[in-house]
Amino acid sequence: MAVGVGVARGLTTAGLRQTVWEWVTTVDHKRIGVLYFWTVLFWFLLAGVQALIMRLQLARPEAGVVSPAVYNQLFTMHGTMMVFLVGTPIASVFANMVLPLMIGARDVAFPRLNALSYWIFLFGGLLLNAGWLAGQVFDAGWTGYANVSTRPFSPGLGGDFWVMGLIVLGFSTMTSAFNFLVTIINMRAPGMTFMRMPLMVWALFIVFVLVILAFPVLTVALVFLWFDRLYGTRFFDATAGGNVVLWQHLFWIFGHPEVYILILPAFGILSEVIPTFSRKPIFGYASMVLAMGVIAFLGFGVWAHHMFTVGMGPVGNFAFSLTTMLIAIPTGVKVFNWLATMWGGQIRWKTPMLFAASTVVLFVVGGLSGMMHASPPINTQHQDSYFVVAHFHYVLFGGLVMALFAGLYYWLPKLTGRLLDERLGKVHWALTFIGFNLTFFPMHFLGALGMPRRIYTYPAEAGWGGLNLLITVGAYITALGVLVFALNLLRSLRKGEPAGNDPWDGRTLEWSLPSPPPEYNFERIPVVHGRDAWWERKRKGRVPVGGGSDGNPNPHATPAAGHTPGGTEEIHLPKPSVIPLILALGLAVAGVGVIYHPAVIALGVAMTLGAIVAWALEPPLRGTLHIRG
Amino acid sequence: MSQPNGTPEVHKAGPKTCALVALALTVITLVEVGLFPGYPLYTEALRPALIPLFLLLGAGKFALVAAFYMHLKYDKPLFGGIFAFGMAVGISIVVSLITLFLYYH
Amino acid sequence: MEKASAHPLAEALHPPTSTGEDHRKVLMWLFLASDVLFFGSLIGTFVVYAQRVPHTPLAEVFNIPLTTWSAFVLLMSSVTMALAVWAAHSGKMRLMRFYLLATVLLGIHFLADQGFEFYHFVHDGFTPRTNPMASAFFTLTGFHGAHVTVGVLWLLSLFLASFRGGITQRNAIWVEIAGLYWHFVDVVWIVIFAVVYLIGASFW
Repeated sequence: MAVGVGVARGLTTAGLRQTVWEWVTTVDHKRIGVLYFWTVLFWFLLAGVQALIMRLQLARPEAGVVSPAVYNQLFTMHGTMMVFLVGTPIASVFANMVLPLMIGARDVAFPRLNALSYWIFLFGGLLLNAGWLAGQVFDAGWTGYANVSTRPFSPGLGGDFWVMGLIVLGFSTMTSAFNFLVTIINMRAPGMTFMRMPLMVWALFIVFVLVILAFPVLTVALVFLWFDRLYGTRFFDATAGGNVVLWQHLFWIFGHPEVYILILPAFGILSEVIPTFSRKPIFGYASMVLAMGVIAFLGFGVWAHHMFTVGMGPVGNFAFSLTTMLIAIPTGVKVFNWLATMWGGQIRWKTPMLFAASTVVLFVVGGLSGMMHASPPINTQHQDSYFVVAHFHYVLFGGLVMALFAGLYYWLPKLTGRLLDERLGKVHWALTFIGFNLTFFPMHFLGALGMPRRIYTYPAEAGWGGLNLLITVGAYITALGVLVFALNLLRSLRKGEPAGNDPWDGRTLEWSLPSPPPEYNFERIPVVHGRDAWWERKRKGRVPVGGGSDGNPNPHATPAAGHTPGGTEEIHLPKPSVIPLILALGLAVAGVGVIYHPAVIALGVAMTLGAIVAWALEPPLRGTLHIRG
Repeated sequence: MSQPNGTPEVHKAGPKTCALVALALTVITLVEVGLFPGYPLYTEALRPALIPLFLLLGAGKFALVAAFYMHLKYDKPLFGGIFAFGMAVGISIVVSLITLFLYYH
Repeated sequence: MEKASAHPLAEALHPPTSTGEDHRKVLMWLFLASDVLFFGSLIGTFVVYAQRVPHTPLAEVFNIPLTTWSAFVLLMSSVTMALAVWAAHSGKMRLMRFYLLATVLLGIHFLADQGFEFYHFVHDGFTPRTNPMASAFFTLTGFHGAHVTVGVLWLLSLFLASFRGGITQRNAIWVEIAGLYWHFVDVVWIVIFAVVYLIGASFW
């Protein structure tokens, strides 16, 4: 059943009655993408509300909106959720929504594994936040530094929910990455070599490589913290000779690649949106690929720039300062290439393009403050001040979130079949752009004036009140923008303008398909002869290859292997399954058991093992569709 | 593009190769343990070279298992490439961690 | 096109892949590359703590003869595993079952040796709580043991499934990828044996 119809119907009571089981057992990547999207949106709104509460508290000196303890919980969970429940899964959101479509594939390599990654994401996120229900929430910052995060200094259950939640979530991210890596490596349409893939696919490929290499290191750090907290090991026990700096090293060996995991999907989105709305191919495709590869590679060599003040000494600091400054080069190449793409193009300032262009500008600002951090002496002043908060919000909100909106306005219509409203989109953009800059630009000044981060209030004599008030106003304007987006989204689902196959005159294969595409994506697997495969077909006057809504057979399509020319196409459909959900639940239950009682661990493990056996015994296919050519 | 799982892979490591590699693994293990302080092959003079020796011998066993048992010698470079990439990143991180703690903390 | 075989383990119909290689084999290699990082971080932590933290010299803690034997056992299990894979690809299913079972038994023997070793450590006062180096040691070898356990269960399942015609020459890939996993676990132990035991007991 069409995804868009399902989504729209899901908002009506009749729809809810009917479609719950279908959604719960889906192995269709497009539906899984929709599930990811709504879940990520939910966490984004929740984390956003936490930010708004913090801003209320900081709007004036010595405010009493929340207690210091609650404030610490708020900034901890805001950061944790934004990084792990919003930023990191964005790659999976877009990979699920459009990656197979962009490479001319009918499905992902492992449909059930794909579903599994979503359900672990859902249950892991709930586990991470379960502390709110228990009234005990982690409060040691999203970076969880030992030994503030160890039991003597964080005695409550909040730390345990945080640790177990993140461990479980790590499985989600890695599962998703493994699935999509095999999909990209093994399921590209005939003729689509790596150097003919859309840059979004390249970006996601590199993201997922980073994921499978970086997340294990985080898992190890979390395991050490888990064992210290619950079993009395001594990894971070300074009295026994343990070294708390080890936590920082392991965390940032993960953490730095993680920020590239966060931003690379944004780069991918920009490399699709900007060419489309400039009516020009991307400038310097090969250098874009190389730049992303270099960024990923160097990204593993810069981590200790988060640790310039721990006392590594001048040589250590110098080494990491050097690699950090080097990483500006490939990033700069990308920025110049986006600008060069726009130069001389016929630019259409639709909402996706507005967001995309702002992303480039705002990311550069964030990059500049990042370069300032890269100098150890300057860093000593910046460390733990609002200057850092300004920097990472410019790159993560100005860079990632703005690009996220660009991508949503661009690709959601492909999934739902309905465009988002242009005027509301422009209002959303304006509120976001203005609100965002009003919120985060003044933070550079606050940092330079000496305001530390992660403080619940400040004295009036400090003179920071004016800027803080301005920032709070900016935050609420930004929130208004998000509200406008939510309205736009809901309106679009009910009565948005039908998108048609190709509303943007796009360049890549997903625009050759109906919106929303049929479950199997492509009636006939396209054969690719170069980059921007769809654009080339349009320029050469060919009709839609994937099976357009007009139903005309394509005389130019080359049959894929296994297809009888002029005969029937056989399409193998994967079988929907509830097993991934049960397996995911088993993992989460085991996580709860670790915190509460061994019997619950046994239950969780039993569910997981049982699900694995059932998975092995379940036939993966539900049937074959025959399409007459 | 070819069909996966087409022809059976009898041309890869057969019983004879497996046995030869097994012999090599056994011999290397004996040498490794023989070099351990207090065991027949150990001398005080060897002590400074002991760490590189242990690592080298271990690497030798690693390479044998990877090449012959995991079929990397017979397979497409794709698989060796994937594994080598992971190894490169992993080894760099381990070396960096050890170096940082040895000299800078 | 052929219909998918009735047995659930039978190879699902795979359309041609871009590399010509089976999805599952690519997946396993990616997983192994990722697992290198996991064990690498654990080994790195152990080495750092073994050098820095005050602790009983490892030469007084470890039982090198016992560990040498168990390392040898695991190596030999790799031999039997490789033979099982060869047998599966050659269509010699009974021989494959024999070698699979041999691998399982050797794996269980390895785990038993480790259990014995840990029991004595704890008995002698060397526990995960003794000091950070000990915490790192037990976590590293414990997770390795968990990997071996998963491998034993997996191979056992393949062994049992092969009785009902579940494993054939056509879907020998299942044995091959289990073999990749098993060899990797062996290779990790090769590193641990060299770094933790041999180097550890010689110098730390």
